[in-house]
Amino acid sequence: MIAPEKNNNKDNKPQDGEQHEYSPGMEALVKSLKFVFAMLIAIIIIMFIWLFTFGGYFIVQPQEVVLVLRFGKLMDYMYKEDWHWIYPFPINEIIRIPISEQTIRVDFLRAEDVKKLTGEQALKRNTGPLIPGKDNYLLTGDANIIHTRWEMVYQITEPDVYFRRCLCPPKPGDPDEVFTDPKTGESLGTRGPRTLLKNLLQSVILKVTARQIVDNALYGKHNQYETEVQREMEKAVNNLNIGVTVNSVVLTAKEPPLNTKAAFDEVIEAEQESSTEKSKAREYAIELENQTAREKSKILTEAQAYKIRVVADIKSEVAYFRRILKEYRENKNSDIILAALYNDTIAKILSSAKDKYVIRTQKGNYQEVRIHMNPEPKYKKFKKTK
Amino acid sequence: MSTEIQEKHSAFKHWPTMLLGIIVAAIFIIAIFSFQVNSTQLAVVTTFGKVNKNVAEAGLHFRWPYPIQSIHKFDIRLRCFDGNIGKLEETYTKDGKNVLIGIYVIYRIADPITFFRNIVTVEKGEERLNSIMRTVKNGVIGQYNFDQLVNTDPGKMKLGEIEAKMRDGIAELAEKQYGLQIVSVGIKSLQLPENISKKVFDRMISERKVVAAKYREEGKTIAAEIKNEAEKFKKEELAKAEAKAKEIKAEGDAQAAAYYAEFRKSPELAAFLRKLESLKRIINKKTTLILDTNSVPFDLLKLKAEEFGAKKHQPNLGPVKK
Repeated sequence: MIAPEKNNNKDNKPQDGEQHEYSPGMEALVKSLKFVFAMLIAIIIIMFIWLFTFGGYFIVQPQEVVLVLRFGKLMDYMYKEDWHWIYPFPINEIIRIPISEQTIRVDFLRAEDVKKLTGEQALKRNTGPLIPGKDNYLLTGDANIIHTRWEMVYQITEPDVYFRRCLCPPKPGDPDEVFTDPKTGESLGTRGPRTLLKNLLQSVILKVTARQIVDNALYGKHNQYETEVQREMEKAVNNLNIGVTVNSVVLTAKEPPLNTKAAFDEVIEAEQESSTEKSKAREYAIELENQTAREKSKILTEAQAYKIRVVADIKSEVAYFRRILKEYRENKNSDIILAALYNDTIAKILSSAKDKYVIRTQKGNYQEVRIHMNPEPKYKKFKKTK
Repeated sequence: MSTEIQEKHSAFKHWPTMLLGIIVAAIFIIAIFSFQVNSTQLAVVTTFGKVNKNVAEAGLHFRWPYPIQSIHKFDIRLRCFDGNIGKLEETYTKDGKNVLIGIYVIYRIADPITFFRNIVTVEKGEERLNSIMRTVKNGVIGQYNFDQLVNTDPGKMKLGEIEAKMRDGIAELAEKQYGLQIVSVGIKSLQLPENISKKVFDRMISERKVVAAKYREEGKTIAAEIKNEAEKFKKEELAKAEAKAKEIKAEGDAQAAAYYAEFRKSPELAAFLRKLESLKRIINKKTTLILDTNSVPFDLLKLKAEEFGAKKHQPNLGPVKK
């Protein structure tokens, strides 16, 4: 009975080296409590170790930056690609902001065309009237209806401004939050930065289109139309100051309503015809110009040739005349020279003429001579073949 | 003495456990007596339901635990709301044309106390905003004609002005009353009622036909102009060339004329030689000659043998004058 005596000391505290004596049930409870307490201490110690080691460790990918909220306050410093360590939650909270290029598509198409493009359905194209709310389209400045499809590429260039100014999902890389009708559960739309940019782009496209001529928007000056939309979009995004930069806005598809397409194609055809006609006329004009140049050159060359020939001829004639005149004056029998020249000439011309008729003349007798002049040469007649 | 040492030793033995307990307790106390506000938020604090004058900004703040104080945090970043009701309602323009206009509002909670007092949740706020948007939209569109919504003349197209007016109208109703700041308003869809879109198609088709005819006509006219111009050019150029050629020929003739003086030395001989030359040129292979025996040299054909011996033959020398 020594032990109970010792237990009844004035502080009722166990002393070193002393063994308490409990009932077996109590002893088991004390043991399990000691174990739980030891486990609790171990957990707390592990938590502290984790807090100062792995808990604050994070890796930043190249296509993102990390912003830090220290007790909720956004720190100035941004963490870029690498691994980093900071005190973890609840001291710091890290926000990952994607900085790679992102794309937003905007369609002003018929509902079934959108489904067709997104691969949801392959329906026959509708030519009926456009149903508001279901089909989408744009009105041009000349009150024509057109369908277009746009693609905008943008980037978050000032992540801190973006996070501070623009409502984004808790994880900014996630898609926009979808909000539903609490009564019906039907989706009513989305909330977030992409929704904001999409609405902004739609508004810009609508305003730019509302001052376009239909032909310019669809055919003639669609590049200008596209550039105008991009410029206005950049301006609108800059005005909002949400840390986003628009890299490009591209008009990926454009067409008139399906049931007016034939009429639009006819205009293109007419334009082509007109263009061909003008081209042919230009071709003809060039050909005529070349022909004119040739004819002009011929006329002038001939004139030059005439000038040279006429002078050369007269020169040779004069030279010949001088020679004959000399002989004619110097020779006593000048008549013989002339007779010889005369006879030579007659001989030459008579020998060259094809048909010659010599008729003997008799004094007082009339003769009748019948000659078939210039008989037609005989040609073989060819039968026309079909 | 030994009991005291034992007591001290025992207290000392449990200090790490006690420290741990204190730290854990401190953490719990801090958690209960503090709250964090993010840089993207403002917080309204109520004490026994009464709204504190000051709004808590980003950082760590002291609070009395619930139910003494309640914290209501509001995200103050830009939100975009496109009006889920009223998108498909027809609106009339000043000139009585019905259009369907869809708008969106970019707004933020600027005064969280006013917002908390009058609205409480964003969903309720957007519900109010939606009805304001419908009212203002109809009011503003009614002040403009249809040709001010779409016009090829950028000066007459007033969509930008309409958006600004709508922004002012919505801001007037939403800013003071609900603590919302309306940053901008945009028109995201402009459509026509179903039956009108069909009529637009018909008009578009007839307009296209006119345009096609215009192109064809223009092509023909311009082509004709080009051709006429080219032909005119040809005529003018050839006329100039002819004139120039005449000049050149005249120069040749003038140069040749200088040589004619030589023939004055014996005009008869010159004429005779010219005649011979002319004969050579005139008579060629295709010429048919009909001559009588009086012509030289065929006069020889009529001589008789006896005459040939008795009479000296005197040939006709033709036109040569002795």
